[in-house]
Amino acid sequence: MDKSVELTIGEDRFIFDCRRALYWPRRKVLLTADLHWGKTQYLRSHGVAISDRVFEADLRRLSQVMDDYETDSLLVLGDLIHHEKSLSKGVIEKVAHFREKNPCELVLIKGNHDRYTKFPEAWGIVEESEFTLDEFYFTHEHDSKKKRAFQFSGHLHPMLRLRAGFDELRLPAFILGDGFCYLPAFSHLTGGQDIRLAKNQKAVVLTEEGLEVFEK
Amino acid sequence: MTELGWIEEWFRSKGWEPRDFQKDAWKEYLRGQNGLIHVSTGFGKTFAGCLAALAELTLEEQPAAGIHILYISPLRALSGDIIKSIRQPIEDLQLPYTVEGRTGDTTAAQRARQKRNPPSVLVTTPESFNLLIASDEYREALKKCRLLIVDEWHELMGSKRGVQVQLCLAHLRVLAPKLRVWGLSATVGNPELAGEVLNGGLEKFSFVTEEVSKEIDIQCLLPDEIDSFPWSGHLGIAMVEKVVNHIDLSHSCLLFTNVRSQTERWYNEIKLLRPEWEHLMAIHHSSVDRERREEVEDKIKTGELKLVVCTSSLDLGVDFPKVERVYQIGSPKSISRFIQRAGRSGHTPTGVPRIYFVPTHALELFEYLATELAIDRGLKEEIVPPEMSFDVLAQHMVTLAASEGLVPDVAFEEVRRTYAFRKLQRYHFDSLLLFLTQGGRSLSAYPYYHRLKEFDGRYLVHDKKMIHTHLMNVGTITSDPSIRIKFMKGGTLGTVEESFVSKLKKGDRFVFAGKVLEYVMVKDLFLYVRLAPPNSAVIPVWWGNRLPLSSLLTSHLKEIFELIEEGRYAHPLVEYLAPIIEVQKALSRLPGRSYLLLEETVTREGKHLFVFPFEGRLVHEALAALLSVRLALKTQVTFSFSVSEYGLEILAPPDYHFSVEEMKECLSLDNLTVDIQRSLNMTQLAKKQFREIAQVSGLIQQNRMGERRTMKNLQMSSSLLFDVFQTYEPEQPLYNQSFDEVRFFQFQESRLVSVLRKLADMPFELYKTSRPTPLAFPLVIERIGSLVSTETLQDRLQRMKAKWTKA
Repeated sequence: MDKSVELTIGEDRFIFDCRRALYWPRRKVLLTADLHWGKTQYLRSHGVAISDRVFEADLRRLSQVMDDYETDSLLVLGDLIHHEKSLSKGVIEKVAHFREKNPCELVLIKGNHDRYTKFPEAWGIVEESEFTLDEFYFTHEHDSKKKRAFQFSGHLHPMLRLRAGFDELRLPAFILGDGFCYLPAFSHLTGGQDIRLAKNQKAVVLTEEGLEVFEK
Repeated sequence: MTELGWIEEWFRSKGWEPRDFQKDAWKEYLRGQNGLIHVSTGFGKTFAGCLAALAELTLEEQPAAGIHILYISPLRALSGDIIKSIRQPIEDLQLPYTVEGRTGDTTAAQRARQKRNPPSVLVTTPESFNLLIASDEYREALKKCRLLIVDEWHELMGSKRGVQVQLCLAHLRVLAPKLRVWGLSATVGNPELAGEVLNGGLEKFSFVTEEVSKEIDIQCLLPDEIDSFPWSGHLGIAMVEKVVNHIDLSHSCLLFTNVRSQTERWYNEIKLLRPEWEHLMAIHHSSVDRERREEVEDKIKTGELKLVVCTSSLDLGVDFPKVERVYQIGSPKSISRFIQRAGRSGHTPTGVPRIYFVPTHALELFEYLATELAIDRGLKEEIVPPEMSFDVLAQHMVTLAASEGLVPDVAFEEVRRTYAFRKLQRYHFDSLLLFLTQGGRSLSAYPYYHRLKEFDGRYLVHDKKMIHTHLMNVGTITSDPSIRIKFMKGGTLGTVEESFVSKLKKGDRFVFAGKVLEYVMVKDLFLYVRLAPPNSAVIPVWWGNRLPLSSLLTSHLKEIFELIEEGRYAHPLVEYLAPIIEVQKALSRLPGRSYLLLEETVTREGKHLFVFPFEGRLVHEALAALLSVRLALKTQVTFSFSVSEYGLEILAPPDYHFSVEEMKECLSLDNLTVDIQRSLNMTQLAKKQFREIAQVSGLIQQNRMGERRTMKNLQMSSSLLFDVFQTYEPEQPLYNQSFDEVRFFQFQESRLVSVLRKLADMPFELYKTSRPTPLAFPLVIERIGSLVSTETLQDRLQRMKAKWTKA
């Protein structure tokens, strides 16, 4: 099974990677959404006994994807952190360390979880509320009123439910439709919501080891 | 005057004659013994338990101050009646002692007053018992405690609430050196164990019992035609008319169902057939608001209500002298429950408990035969007490730390004196303490998680806010977060689970508390509704959550089938059931105790294997997980398995071959422990258990002060958390406990071993059938399958892709 697949959107090629990231070769931009950094810290402060291991694994996976693709910019489609209260010293340091190793440009389209966050300077984040590059529009929540540009968005944590006989799977997916692409949540510490494919829509369904494209 | 003389004089003044067991109980108490009073309900256990201590206090001329008697009852609804009973001699004889209750309902002002000036006799719940220990004032008052009564011990001992009582009791023994502990229990199948669990080691222990049970009149309402009566289902709406025609409202009656949705359906169906009964009938189940439930209970008591449709919410509780008849809709599930429910009727001096069994599908009539057989033999279920419930222990340790502080050596010894933790090892205890102080190994780096702190060898909860959070969360009953139903015009009805609300859309209609309601909006944990016309289309509010059949019942069921097969059971019902027996025999065979019946059927879904050990749902779940995992490990395949009370089903791809040889091999005892662990890793069974553990232990806090509204965000994550721990923190102790609990409590590993041993000596008989037999039918229709797969996620995804492209 392939670990990535190349699909054309407009005139541009995009590489969909099973590690929940999307690479745009011409601009050398790596796209991700809903990283929810510091969610472990947030849960702990609400009494849930969980360590940072899943958060650290998310950071490592992101480093590896960035190493595998030549990345000039990391573009995050919102919800980079889980909550402004999740910026503990430990979280700040772990991310600062990640940024030292991966010093490329990091552009964040602010999402509902990080709308009011003041980010540490050491993270070197460029904050935007929306962003247009070439004929593409990047946003956290899909904006159905904007009809002209092709939209990339996060926020939904899309999942696809699949059946074959009595066997059933529910997996994260990229959803591609007329004029839009929803990205899956990058973090492994997130739930998701089921999406039903409409006519002419595509889903790139992900496992940690590979992916498969489903088209309706 | 002796204490006994004092009691008997008061009894005589009331015109009563003490029963033998009451006299025995008083004598044994006065001899300084602890004990268990094991007698059928309704014969005066409260007096048997309390009066000797009250006599002792009076004759010793003890001052009222301090809590002399602590009375634990699992049902707060009962505390009113208990208080009234105990006050009788005190008021008659003008004794100085006070009797009061303390439950979750007691107002803050009352509680504050009680704390300053505790009553001589305090009636309370297991949860409040835990809180008393954490309070300085109560600990002081409890030093005088000479008698602890644990009422309804048969209800408590099989649950984690019972474990909580054992732990608190062990601590109370330390606080109150003069303490004697007495349990009050209705009859159970294993009374010796009931005594041992309550009392730890059996030193200075007396067992008091007396045969006083009443005859029960049991009858069965049959459908007109068995041929057209369904083979599965649980609502039994086909029987409503029959029951309505049978009900005679000149006698009050209770109509018991097994699940809440069935209660709602039956209530509405009856109302449609007999609209004129509306003001004489009511509905009662655990989700209806407490005030409404209490109102219903009062009106049954006075006879104002003639018919109440209810669930297990009315199994226990205050007596209803006016109730003359009980209807049981659907399987009784357990012998004890059936007798208990029957016993809610016939309380008049000449009355006899009278119960009518109403089947909801044909196979339940066999269950009825089995029930009758077991009752004739005078048998009752044995209760299995939980052991090593680390979540309850963790909670208790925080309580100890929040009180005088926890000294590890002392606390360990104290805890080991309970039945539940008699096998506790020091390393268990230490790792739990480590979890509470540092969050365990993986969390040691995060200061927030340090819940306890050590000062000079004593562990304390140092943060006031944390103490509050803990005390608000004490309890071992977990539930879905609930949403309160409220009318737009004001007034609340009861609560529904959040998972139900999340499935509703605006304008949807559902039935609740016998009313058809329309969803308007959800705001701040309230579901706003308005009344809808009574005949509009509706959605059921509850599903799943079925009570398991007791093993006593399933073993009798197997015996009934065997007796029928051998033509040795003469009973009018057997003739009546002949058409079904014939179908089963024509397609396959009747199950029996000397061989294992297997059936194989191919349908559009795939190839089904049905196995009928008749060992009850829990054992079948373990067998199904074990069998399907072991079979799957032999090749790469995906199965779905499901279970019923009678057997289990494995659903395989159509080209899969089930061989009797392989199945025999896969049900062997070799490597059992390893394979059970494997089965748990490969199925989702531990995940269900984890949710409860996470809440009880405080891993997930349900009610943090002032944070009710964020509950939703935290609630949803218990399944996600389980997955994250599975991948990233497999050493997390509570994650591991979920596996242990499934192994010991749900799978009942020891029982599983004995079942496997039995199966090893049995021939397996496989019948290939052209369609599902009456026994297999419920497994096909009501399937809630679990998946087992030895294929990779990628292979499964590829198959789904192939199917997608074909479609």
